[in-house]
Amino acid sequence: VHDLQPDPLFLEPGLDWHKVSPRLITERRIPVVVLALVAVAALVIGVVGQANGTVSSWPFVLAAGVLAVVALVLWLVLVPRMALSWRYAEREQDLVVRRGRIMRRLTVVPYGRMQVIQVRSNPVAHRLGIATVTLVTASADTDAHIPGLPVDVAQALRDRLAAKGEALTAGL
Amino acid sequence: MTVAGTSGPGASGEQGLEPAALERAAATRMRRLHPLTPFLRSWRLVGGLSAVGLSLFREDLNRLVWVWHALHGDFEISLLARAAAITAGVAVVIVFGAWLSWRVTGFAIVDEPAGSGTLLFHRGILAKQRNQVRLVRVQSVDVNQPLVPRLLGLAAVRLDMAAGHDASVNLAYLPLAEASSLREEILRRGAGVTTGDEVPRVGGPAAVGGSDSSDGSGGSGRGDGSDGSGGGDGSGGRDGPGGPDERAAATSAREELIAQVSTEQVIKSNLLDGISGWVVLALWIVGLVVATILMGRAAFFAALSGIIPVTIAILAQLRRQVRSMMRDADFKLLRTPTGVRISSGMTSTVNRTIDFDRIQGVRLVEPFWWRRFGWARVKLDIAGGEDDFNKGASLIPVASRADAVALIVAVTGADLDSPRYVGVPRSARWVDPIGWRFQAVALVGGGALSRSGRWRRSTAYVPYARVQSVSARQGLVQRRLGLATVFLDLPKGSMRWRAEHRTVLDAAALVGELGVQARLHRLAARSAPGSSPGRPALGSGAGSAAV
Repeated sequence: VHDLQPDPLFLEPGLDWHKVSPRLITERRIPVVVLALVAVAALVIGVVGQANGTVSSWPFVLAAGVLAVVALVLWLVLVPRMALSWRYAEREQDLVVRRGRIMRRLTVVPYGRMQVIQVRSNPVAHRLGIATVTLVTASADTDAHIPGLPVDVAQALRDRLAAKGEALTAGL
Repeated sequence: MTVAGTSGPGASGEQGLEPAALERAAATRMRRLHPLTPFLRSWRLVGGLSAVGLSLFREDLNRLVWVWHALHGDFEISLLARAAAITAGVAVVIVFGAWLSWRVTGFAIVDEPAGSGTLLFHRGILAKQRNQVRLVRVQSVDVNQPLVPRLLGLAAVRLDMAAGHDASVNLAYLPLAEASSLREEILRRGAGVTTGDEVPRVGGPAAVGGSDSSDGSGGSGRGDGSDGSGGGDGSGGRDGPGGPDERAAATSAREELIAQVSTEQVIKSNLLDGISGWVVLALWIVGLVVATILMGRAAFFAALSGIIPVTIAILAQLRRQVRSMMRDADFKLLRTPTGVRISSGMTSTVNRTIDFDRIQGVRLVEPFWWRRFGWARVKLDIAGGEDDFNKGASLIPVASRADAVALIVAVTGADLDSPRYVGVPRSARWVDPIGWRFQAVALVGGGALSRSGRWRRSTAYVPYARVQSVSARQGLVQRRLGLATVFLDLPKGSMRWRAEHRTVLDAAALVGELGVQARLHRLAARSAPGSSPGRPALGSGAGSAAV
């Protein structure tokens, strides 16, 4: 279900494309929980308000319903699809990152242009044992990050990237 | 940025003197800025203190009107006395603070046995700041005159370093003559020319091959292939011309005027550029009047709510235009040994020295109404140009299109009228119905070209050597049409280069080719700094660009 179609631009055939951990879905579902809580709160306010006779309940119930549907769609469909759309491939000279289903994106970062390689995880990701590897170049437009990597994979990737970057700039 | 005891950019030079020795040498020859400097630099402080003084009167603020009455003999002596005392107190504090700050601010140029000299810049009362700038590392030296200092005959000397904005040093303010001579001295030393009995600095690798003077620009004995050997990002150093015969000529005296645009032309062309905005505004007002006459007051208010955003947009445009007019007025473009110098400005004169190696991108802009006259403007993206000072700098504010193209060839080696442009497929009309016919990209020798715009035509050139990463993006509609957009991500200070709506196969090929070219040019730039390919001489070939 979650496999991507081959594509000459965004999923070049013949490359060794790596997936990210499915645990990324869990991380990305956290904001959806917040949304669901807001829906519940709206429902509670509506019902209690109706009982008190202070407000009429239907706008709140309607809002809660809409939020609940949005949260459900996000939870079941969109978040898993988006989270599993990440792929990356290490080529000889550069790192390729692709992502997105609706809006597809591809970034090619030459190892020689990497300035900083960051491995970060927020508290949720930390509990799940996953991390995000971010490549920083001199350009603010470069958007090369790979979330949802198991921590050991992320560290190994960081070390490989750092070694390649060093090798490519060693000839200075 | 006021860290105690910081040593500035280029402090840890391998051949520099010991800091203590520098200090000793500097102490003997410390030069001061103009005594008015503290007031000019911190007019906000002066204003703030005045505000504090006034706020002490907050209770009596309305009674300050009594000063008026007082002049007519109806005064309250205690209030006036308080006003006078506080004013005097504030004045004393300000003058004392200014004097103190002036006392501790100073600069000196110190010789080094092996180098071309170091500039020391000391300032700060509480947090002392000590900058040491090795003059070899200086990228450009500009003399600027903001409005008020200009009226007082003062100027600021600004030293730009390779490291970008944070590292620049601004010696403000000095009398204009002193500022100019200081600039000369720094340039002379930075270029490896020493005064007096010092040992001349040995030139860098860029010194070879200085025999090409085929540009006919009058006795420039310097090969332009080796212009500005600063190399890639942040590699920094500017190696001066090295041969003894060349060294003597490497002063700013060798600057040569290559283009000039009068203030009148700048204003005329800017007004023409903004004419669409004025037409829209006029139509709105006419429509408003007509609607009011026909349908009464309700229509007037309805239309008014619509006109507010339009008015805001127009005002924003007006502001931008006035600013660009002020900035580009009395525009002069000069050729320097390693780049160009731009001198312009109406109220404040700004000098901008731009080495060829700092140019990250060039844009040829042809506003709709200009094309009737065959005019064009050239914009520059400059490394380390995040600040207002460098942002949106014009290489030429207005010129004939042919002259503008020739100027770009001279500065970057790229021919914007390359015959290699490839357009986008017809299906792109669904995502870009107006402009799709005018979307085109071309890959030329040293970089990538991208053209767009049905009305306002814009052609962007980016040297491959500057590319940081290559990206692609595809939205839902684009996917249905089999299209994608390719980007080149560039260092800060540059606009992102984009190739809109290429077919997917074309985009894939473009991503691959751009990646390969970027790598090859990056490696070439690194192994042979300054010898980036295809940069012909910037000579009088560009012609004096006049409208």
